[in-house]
Amino acid sequence: MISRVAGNCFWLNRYMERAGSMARLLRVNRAFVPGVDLPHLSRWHPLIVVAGEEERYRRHFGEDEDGETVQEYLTWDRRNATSIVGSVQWARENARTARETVSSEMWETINSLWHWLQGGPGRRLYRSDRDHFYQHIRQMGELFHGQADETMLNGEPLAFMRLGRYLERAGQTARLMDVHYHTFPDEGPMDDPVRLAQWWALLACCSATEPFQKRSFGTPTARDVVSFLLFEQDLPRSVSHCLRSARHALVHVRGFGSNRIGMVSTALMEALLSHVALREGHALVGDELHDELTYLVDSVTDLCTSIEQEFFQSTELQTRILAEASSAAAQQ
Amino acid sequence: MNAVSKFCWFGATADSMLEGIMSADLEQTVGLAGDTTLLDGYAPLPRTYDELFRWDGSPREEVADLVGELNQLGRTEFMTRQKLAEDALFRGGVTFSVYSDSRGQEKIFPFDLIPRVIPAGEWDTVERGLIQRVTALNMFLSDLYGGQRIIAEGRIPKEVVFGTAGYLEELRGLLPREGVFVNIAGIDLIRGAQGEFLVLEDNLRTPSGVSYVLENRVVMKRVFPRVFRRSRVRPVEGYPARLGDVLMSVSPRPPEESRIVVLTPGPYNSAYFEHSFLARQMGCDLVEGADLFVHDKHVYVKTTSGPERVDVIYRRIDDDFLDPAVFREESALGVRGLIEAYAAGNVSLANAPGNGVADNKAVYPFVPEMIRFYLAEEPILGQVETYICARPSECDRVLSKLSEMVVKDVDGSGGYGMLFGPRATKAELDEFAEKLRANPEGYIAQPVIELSTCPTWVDGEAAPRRVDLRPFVLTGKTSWVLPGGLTRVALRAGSYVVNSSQGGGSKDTWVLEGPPT
Repeated sequence: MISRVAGNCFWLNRYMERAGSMARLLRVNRAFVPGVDLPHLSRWHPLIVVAGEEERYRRHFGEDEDGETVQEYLTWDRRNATSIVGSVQWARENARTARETVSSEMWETINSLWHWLQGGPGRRLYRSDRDHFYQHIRQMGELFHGQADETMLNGEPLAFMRLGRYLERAGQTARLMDVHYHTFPDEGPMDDPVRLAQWWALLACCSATEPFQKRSFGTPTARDVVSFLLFEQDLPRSVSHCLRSARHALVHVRGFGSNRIGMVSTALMEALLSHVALREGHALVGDELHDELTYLVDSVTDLCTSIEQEFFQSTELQTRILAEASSAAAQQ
Repeated sequence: MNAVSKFCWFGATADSMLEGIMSADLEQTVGLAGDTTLLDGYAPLPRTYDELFRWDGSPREEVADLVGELNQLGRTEFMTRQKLAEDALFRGGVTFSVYSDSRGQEKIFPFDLIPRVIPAGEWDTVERGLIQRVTALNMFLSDLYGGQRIIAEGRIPKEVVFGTAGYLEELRGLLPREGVFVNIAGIDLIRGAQGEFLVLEDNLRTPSGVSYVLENRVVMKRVFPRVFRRSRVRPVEGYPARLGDVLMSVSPRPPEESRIVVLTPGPYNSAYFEHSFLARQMGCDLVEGADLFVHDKHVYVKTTSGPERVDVIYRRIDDDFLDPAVFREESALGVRGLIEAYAAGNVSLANAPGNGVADNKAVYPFVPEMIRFYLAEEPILGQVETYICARPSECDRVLSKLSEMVVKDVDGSGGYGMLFGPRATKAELDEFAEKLRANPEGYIAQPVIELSTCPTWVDGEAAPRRVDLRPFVLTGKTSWVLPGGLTRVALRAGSYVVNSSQGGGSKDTWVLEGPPT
């Protein structure tokens, strides 16, 4: 398929995943914060850090860490590229450019979400019933991904959509888990009730509370939760599951093409998967966990950059393929 | 009048949007007792040809049956169907957005349900006239980029050809495959007061609007199944396949190896919907400039499985932006090296570059002369009398009767940069006279033509509104004319401006089948 359109499919899904993930996090944090006694700075600040927006936020709002300001910034502020409204807008732009590839059902979902956010209804609900507001965005995200699987032909475009979806999700789960580190930067008793309460909240961000209860008996420990979110094969949003699904999509994609395109990405993907496999069973906490999560987020970013270069922005590589083909022909 | 609209369409095609309408319901066509009939009391404008009615208010003979069918519907029923069509359009998200508006305000595309009808006999003449005209224009372009016989023999002044935008000296000596420069033409026609068809403008570069013709037809067939069936209307659905045939016929490689793409400036272009629509209908890829690259004088499209050679480009971007190496250097829309690949014969462009010289307003007055020169025939279609302001005597005449004239910028399009004399204030006339005196070469002038009208549904009744017609002519080894074309209608009372960017809408155009033989 056309490289640019493949890129549109990939990015469309990354942006929708990102919007849904941010909505989950904001909703859960709203529920978590009032129930625990946390220093002011530990309430909303971690969300800005994991969104990668610390610097820009400080530039605009200084030391103002008020929950309202943070929610407004992460939801509506167009200066913030990762805000929900920004993600949905970019998702829609990508869908519009690949209109003949994206199914009508998906297009209608994304278009109605966009109009809802743009017009009065979204704003009104944000003011009157914010939990419901974030829940609606999360549900639209779920609807969208479900529609991708239910309405698209099982071909290359869908494979790129899944690739984008799972890589973004792997990165988002790692970021969400890192909220814990930024809330409790000092070493301390890892299983104290407040800390456990936050792990419990982070499970909820990943729709993992009920799955966790089904797999874990007795009083949970932080290590159990971490291990579950990182390595549980059967959990749809665990890092390990997302990476395996992304590998599956990448293999599918490469099945359509020549061997030359995707070599680097495949190597990076395999390296990342073996890295994760080696750590399975090791329950990480504290600084060690933070370093691991940072490594995961960075690796996923590198992998996405490589996919971008090999599959979507590939003039150089494609020219090289032609040049090699003509020199091979000349030698014969 | 080059760009048909400033609108982008989003969403599904008319087909899916109308699924909500139950065709079975629409088979019931009997109007309610006591209901007012649709077209009763319709009063054509004085001194103006009406497409459906005579001056005395009776329907024209060829369309009498159709008028009867429409009347039978009754106003209530008609309005119900109009509402159904609009609801379906809206629900399906078939809306357009005024694209200067970054917030993406979206509305339904203005579409009038009363068809514009052309009887078989009249269409026959139009068809022959269009083919004759496009043939001569193609020969003119081949001549101009070749031996320039027509200039050497003094049949068209050198200044006219070389003095205006459109002629590209870089392309001299380059003939497209099959010698056809204009594969896709949109020739704008109007009717004069006596009903005679006149050519108003030739669009030989990237004419748009055909997607509306096809979408409008889908709507009409669903909304008026019985009227449509009984009227014996010639089909338009074959257009994308015909276009595909034409594009394939100019491929440098055999059909089974050929790859055709549609090249668009991108989703912000007003005609993006059409580009995407045609690519989908022809089953080929829609690409942007950045998707293509040139290697060793061949054009390739970047795909996820590596570079794939491209043989034919149906390009919907202007000449100026095609190749930054040859034309506008800053163009980000085009493909570097494309013209070199074209010159080497490795890729075909449809339409060929350089056509602007044949459809500009300064050259227009000479088209009848081209027909005589190349074909030794008299023009079948008339055209609007045109004063060439570059000629001092004609310029003086224009200046003396400015309030009765339409004066056009020779390089303008879309109804912009022109003066509509009868509507202009004294100050506007004076100001325009100044511009004209300062740069007479930049203008041509035409007397005001009373464009024909067609009954159009406005504010709960049928009222006369002015229309034009853009038929589409496809040329490969032979020429083919799409039966009908895009009828544009000026929705404002008294307006002559049919451009959709300025308050125009569209209608379905019904060319009737001839009598059974």
